[in-house]
Amino acid sequence: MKKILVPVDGSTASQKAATKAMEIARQFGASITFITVILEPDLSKYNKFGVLIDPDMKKLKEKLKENEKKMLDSVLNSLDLSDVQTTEKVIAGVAYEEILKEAEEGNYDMIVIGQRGFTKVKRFFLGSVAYRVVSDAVCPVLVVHE
Amino acid sequence: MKKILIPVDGSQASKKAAEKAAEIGKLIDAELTFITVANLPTEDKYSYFGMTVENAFIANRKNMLKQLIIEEGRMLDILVRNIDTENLRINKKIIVGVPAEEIVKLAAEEKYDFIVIGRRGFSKVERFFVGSVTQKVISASPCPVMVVNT
Repeated sequence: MKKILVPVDGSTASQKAATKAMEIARQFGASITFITVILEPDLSKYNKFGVLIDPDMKKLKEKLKENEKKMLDSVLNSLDLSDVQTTEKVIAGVAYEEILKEAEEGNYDMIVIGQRGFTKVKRFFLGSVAYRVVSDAVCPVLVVHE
Repeated sequence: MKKILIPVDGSQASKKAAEKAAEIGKLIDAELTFITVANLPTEDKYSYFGMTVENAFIANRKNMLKQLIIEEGRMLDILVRNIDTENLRINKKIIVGVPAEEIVKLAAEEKYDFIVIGRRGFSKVERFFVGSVTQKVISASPCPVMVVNT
């Protein structure tokens, strides 16, 4: 148990997960990587029809990343980060794909994820992102409740 | 002292979960409780429609349940014996009832810190990637649930 991956989306559930992960990392002497994923707007659909893309649109991704980083920072500010080595990552892509890719490539020992983020479809027992992560992760996944 | 609950059904996934739980238990000095749930359909559905259920059937059912508990206990013993539990405090429990309900109830009543469970047991419906018992445990659990893949 040396490396823990914690996906954060700013929801209460993800804050709980982050808190729990810190507690575990302290006990195990593990390091934590906090990851947050922005959904990158696909601009190629405009190109196809010859639509001129507003130059501001191109800045959109940067802006999104900037905001996401701020969110991540404020989540981390609310935590007691002493004694644990932490890394932050902001990635563009589809949330569950990027989380799974990071978990596999980074050889993490555990993923700690919140049970329900912002989509409130109660039909599903888990949020769609957490469900995909639980389904396909190569390492154990700890599901923490809101 | 942390308490970890590990529901096992004898499947490969539950064996992996048990191994992972032992590994974690050693790191955080936890007490491990392995449980298995013996489930037998009730005869209530027959009496509901006014059918008389033969006494022999009920007696037989009781025997079946008794046998089932013995077999479940045997499975539990073998599974626990095959993992490295040196220096760990271990409990074993066999409970009769509906698996997901009993697991969640026990976790709440005895205040476990974690549940460690396999991603899917023996059911073969691959439409869902996560087994039905595991799904229900994740959604209803009072404590964090660790899902271990095979």
